[in-house]
Amino acid sequence: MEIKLEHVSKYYDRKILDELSLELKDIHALGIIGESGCGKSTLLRLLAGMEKPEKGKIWINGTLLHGKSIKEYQKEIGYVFQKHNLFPHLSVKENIVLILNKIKKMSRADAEKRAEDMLKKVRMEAEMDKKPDAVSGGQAQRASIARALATDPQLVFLDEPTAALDPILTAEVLRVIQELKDSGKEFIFVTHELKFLKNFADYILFMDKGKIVEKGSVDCLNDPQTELLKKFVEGEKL
Amino acid sequence: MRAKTKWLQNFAAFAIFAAVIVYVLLCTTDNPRYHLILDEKTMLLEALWTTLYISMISLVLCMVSGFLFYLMLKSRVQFIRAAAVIFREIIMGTPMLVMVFLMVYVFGNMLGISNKLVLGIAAMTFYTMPYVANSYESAAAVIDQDQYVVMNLYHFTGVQRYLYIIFPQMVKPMLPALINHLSGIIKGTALLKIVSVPEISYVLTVISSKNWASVEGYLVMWMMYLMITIPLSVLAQYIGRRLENGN
Ligand SMILES: Nc1ncnc2c1ncn2[C@@H]1O[C@H](COP(=O)(O)OP(=O)(O)OP(=O)(O)O)[C@@H](O)[C@H]1O
Ligand SMILES: [Mg+2]
Repeated sequence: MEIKLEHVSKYYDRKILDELSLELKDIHALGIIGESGCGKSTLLRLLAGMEKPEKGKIWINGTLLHGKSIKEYQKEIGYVFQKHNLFPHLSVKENIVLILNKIKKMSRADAEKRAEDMLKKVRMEAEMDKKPDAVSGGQAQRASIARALATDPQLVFLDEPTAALDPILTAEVLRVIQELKDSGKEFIFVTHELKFLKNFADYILFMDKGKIVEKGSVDCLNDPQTELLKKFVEGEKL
Repeated sequence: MRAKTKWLQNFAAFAIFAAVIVYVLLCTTDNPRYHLILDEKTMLLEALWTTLYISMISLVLCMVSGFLFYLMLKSRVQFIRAAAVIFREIIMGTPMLVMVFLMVYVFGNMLGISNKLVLGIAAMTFYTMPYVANSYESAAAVIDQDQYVVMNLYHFTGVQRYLYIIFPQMVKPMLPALINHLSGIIKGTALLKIVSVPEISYVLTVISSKNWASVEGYLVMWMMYLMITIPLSVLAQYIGRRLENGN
């Protein structure tokens, strides 16, 4: 995929993202890292077109994320939220069926079949008729991964998809994601798992206080150019 | 042991109020003549029915108009929002008695509508609508921002938002609120007697004045309203509790 940012700034009550500029080509998995609160999730939301920058422009694969083009763009993406964001009144399975059947206009039977398949992939078949409140955080997170992938998106956003998972489940979820990458899907993700990052990302952005401090291939984790990244990598290893 | 004293205490509280009410019913007047009023069974039942169906129709109209009104309060157009807020403040500041009077003698005349029942229902509906809209507003607040983020991402249409996500989650907080509104409407219909709608309070006034038993008339009226409103309130609390504990 191609990503281009031009002086992108985002404000909430203060400046959260500070004049980000970037031009990347031929990337398949972009990893974003940095300390808590540095703006990773915010950047991810902007890249997915869910929020607009107050200043600057964003292009993904040549499409300027602006106005009507966002709708077309968002049809092709999946998004796994940091909090699972499942609808609380629907069972885990219905959460997926609703999107496929009512929004994407798939037939009810096909939608159910697809939802079950996706939930099996993330080992959630036993829990699929429970409400999100009635399953554990890790299970809800896996269900939300299944929802994001159910529409067969070409580009998938992941905001710390394994944060609520134990090591075994983390490994399983990462295996599912790896399979998808092998089948040609592309990813933009935020993570704290350095191991996953090293195996999975082909480009890394390291952020601090709303700025991109260091960027490059995974090798930069082994040979940090800045003190900040050096500290971050050491901190995460402990 | 705990449960037993709890029941005893509940019963004691109930017994005190029951005793006071019985005392009031029997001792307020010398030689109470309830039989003269209760003899008019058919009239009383018809009045009860009139009160109930006026109230039910008003509630249904309130649910529809209250929702439209809620949408106006949330409109993107400043003018519509402003108009809705002003309208709400006017209605909420108007006593029901004045509302009934306005509806029947002012708007009824203006629009050439003379059917008292229709005008009575209109008065009840207008009076209650902003409160129902407020209930919609607080019910919709249970849907958090994260859910709107997801709906935006998948480009739900306005109808899809309400149909699949918002309404289903509003039922829980709305049901008890609506029952309470119904209770309010039922009590409010008592004022329709000033325009001679044959509901409970009007019919009892007629019967009791015919029999020179107006104190008894009001006491029977009181009992009839309590017989409707207390079960409704219990129902609202029961439903509220059931919904709290899931499903
Ligand atoms: N909707 C919002 N309104 C106001 N401030 C916000 C909002 N969302 C995020 N922020 C603030 O913006 C900053 C960056 O938030 P963001 O969620 O992007 O951080 P993050 O890098 O993803 O952190 P974490 O690793 O903890 O998830 C934080 O200081 C946060 O408090
Ligand atoms: Mg975050």
